Amino acid sequence: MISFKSFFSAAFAVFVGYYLFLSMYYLVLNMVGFFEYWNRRKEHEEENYAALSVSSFTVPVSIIIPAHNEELWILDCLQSVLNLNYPEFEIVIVDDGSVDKTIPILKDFLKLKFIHNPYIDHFSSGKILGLYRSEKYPKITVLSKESGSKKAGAVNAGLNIAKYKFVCVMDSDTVLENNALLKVMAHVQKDPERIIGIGSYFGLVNGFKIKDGQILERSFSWKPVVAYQTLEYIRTFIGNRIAWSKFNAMPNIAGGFGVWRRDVLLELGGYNTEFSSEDVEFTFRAHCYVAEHKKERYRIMMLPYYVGWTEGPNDVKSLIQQRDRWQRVMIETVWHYKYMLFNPKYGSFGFVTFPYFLFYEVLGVFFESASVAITVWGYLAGVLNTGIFFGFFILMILYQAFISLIPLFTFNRAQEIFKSKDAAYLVLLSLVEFFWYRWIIAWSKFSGTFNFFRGDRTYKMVPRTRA
Amino acid sequence: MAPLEFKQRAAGYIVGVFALLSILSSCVTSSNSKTVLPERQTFLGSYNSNETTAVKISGEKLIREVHEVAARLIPSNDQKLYDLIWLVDKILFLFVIFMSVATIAFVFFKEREDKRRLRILTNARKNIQRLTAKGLSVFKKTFPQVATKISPKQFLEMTKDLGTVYPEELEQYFRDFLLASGKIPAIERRAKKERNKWRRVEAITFLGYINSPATLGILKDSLFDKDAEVSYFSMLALARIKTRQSAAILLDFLGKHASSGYKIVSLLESFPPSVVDEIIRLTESPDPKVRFWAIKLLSKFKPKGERQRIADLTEDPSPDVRASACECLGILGEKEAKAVLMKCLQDKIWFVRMQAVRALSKIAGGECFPELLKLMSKDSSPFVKESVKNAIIGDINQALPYIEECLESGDKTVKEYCVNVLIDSNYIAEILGNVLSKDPTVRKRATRLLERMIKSNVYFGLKKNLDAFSSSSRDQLMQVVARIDENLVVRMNRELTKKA
Repeated sequence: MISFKSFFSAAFAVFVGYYLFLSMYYLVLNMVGFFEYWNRRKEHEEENYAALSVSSFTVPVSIIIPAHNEELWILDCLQSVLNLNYPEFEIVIVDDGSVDKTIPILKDFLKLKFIHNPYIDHFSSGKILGLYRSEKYPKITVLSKESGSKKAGAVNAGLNIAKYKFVCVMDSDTVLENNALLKVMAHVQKDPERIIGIGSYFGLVNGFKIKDGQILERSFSWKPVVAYQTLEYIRTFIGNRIAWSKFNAMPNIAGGFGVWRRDVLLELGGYNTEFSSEDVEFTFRAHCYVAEHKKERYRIMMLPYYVGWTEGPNDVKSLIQQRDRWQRVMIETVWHYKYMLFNPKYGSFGFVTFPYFLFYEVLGVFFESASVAITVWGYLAGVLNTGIFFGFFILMILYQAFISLIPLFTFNRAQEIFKSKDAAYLVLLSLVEFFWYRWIIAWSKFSGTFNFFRGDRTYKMVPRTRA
Repeated sequence: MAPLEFKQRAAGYIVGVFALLSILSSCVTSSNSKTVLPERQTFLGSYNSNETTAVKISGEKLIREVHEVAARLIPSNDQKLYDLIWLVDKILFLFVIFMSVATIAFVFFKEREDKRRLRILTNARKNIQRLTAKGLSVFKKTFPQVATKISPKQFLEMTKDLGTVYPEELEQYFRDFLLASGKIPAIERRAKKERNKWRRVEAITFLGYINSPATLGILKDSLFDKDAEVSYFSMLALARIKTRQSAAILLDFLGKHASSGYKIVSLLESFPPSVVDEIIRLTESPDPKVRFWAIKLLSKFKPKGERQRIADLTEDPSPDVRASACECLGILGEKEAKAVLMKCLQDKIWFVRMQAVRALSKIAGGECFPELLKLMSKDSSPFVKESVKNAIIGDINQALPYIEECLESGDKTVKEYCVNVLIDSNYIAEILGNVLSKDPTVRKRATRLLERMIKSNVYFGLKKNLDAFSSSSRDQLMQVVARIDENLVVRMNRELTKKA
């Protein structure tokens, strides 16, 4: 009994310390993010996009869209890209061995013609089945390849034929805003030698009305599992990434929409097909490259503007499946780049971002679950008095709300997306997040960790529903 | 730029140190709690090694005393923990309540404010449009009453970039009206001295639209400001003015900050041609990046009589400058540049050769095909070869005699390229159609070309193309093919039988 109490006391102190530390970390990060977000917003208001959209000197971009069984989304995605208000870009669609109607849809819409252009594979990205050019839109090339090398392999295959200096990698279930590329590339245009990677915020498309790649109605999804993801996206993009970006320590340019400099992508050998997912790992690798080659001038940035909308899991099962993969890739990446932790060579990345990834994203779920389990156990065993027990639980609930509410406020201060009832609903959800959503995520993280140790490195796609 | 980066890095390190301290403090907290646990004897009993060490160092008595002290401390320690947790709870609770109310209230009031602002702007805009319809004299008389209801910023929001909506003379009137409103000196002061960066940027942008007499001087100073954002928005404001003087300031900036080249040239592109003299001056800059951007800009303005100056730049030490000079010569389209471009086909850098190919195909058309086809067999770069291919596809009729020649005498790679050119230009079906032509000259020429294609042993999709013909035409074509290569027909028939 006494040995349990000593163990319990030590563990309890660690848990309290953990929550206090994380709260302070979030507070500092959110304060930085708050001002950074405001700066970006003002910058956006004063920018002259009209001049940029008609200039022949606007940096051209190759857009790579990997698609694997995307019959539900591919057409809207493609049409939204074709509708982009941007002077020069090419589109490379990589069909990664789809067995549904993706290819027939593309053939019908684009009037594809087989071409004989030379294809040099720089990355061993898999067997190529054919290269097609659209007769209707000459700037679209479709590359058909055998599946098996995940999204990373498909993007690498697209990189082999992308010709412009900047490459935008996006998901085939993402519907872009008309000025998405313009908003992002306006920053690149300031000095294209400086920015090597740039991403921006995108929201969930669930419940939207879309026709021909145009969003007709942005309806807020009241379905809790979707609304919670919206809250989570805001927390991640606005609460953390904007602030990390300020320190040039941004750990992830999301695969849904991100722009990279092609020469850097090529120099780093493209995306790594060994990892469960490609985006986090590549961003970490790019930071290594910047630090190890003493390219302090280079920047990897995150912007807070809406650039597009992507489909989020529509039910708990799909959500767990998606987060399982995210957890796996986080562990894989953190383990692979462990030497960056508190390593002065990697500057802010090693001191600010990496510890967060390790202690919160990877290990956080164990801390949190253990804190709940041990506290309940301690209370039942009579070691912990009622006051401390309830105090601690209230702390966990409030902490969960705290880390959501600051970014939610920051977001609403600068965006006109939500109406007051939507905002009120999100506030309410953040107050009760601890009671269920947190544990769904915790479960998926456990499952991801278990699967990581099992050696699972597969890229399981979340089933598309278009609900 | 440098101080800003330093600030960012410094902030990063501060957060890092803070993170470290927090981790250390949490470790200290946890180690402290281990030392003040109750009922030590049993606890130590479960850790024999600790007990032994303790006995060895201080003896049993000492341990007992320590335990007693620890036991006395426990209640107060629990109390401390209790107080700490509830204190944090109280702080977090207040914070959460405040943020919840603030978020909902903010969105609610912002929604109302946005609606109100939109209503004012819409009404004002409607009034202006109504007045415009009544003619300029009525407009000028009544407009000042409308304008009193809106701020200069709102006024600008309504009128900027609306040249297509309002008559052109009104734009000048709006500008004069604002200049005479008496508010400009305050805006100029803000653009010069305002400490709040974004208020300053707002004023700078405003001056870019209004172009008051002092604007150029203010913008020139702010363009060279140490704050990157102030400098950037000054650049945008200068680009709105679109005069020779503003171009000179921007080009001067380009000479000193070549890394901003992309942005500056994209802005200068829309300036009137009177800025060309200023751009030509930059082609003599010692900085290759500046020379590069100067040629790029000249390509857009297409100045007459500057061919020789640009041709000289094809011998520049920088390959980027040479390539853009070739590109510019192609855009100028003066045939006299052919000799210079032919020389560039021998350049050791592939992208210079590629630009030379593109430029040559623009100014010399079919005349340069023999040289280009030679390049196809020799050049090591696939991009140069691709450019040659595209150049030939663009003028396939003129290229046909040269293609025939290459199919006869070129090496395997050249033959492959020639066949690919015919495929990509959709010419195979036309050749087959011409083989059946009633005109003997056309028929003879097409048959000869078909024969050379078949004998080149390069796949060109004969069977697939034949499928597009009717069965009688297909039979006739098969007879022609059989005369050229009987084995090929046998092979094709065998495959057909297998499939059947």
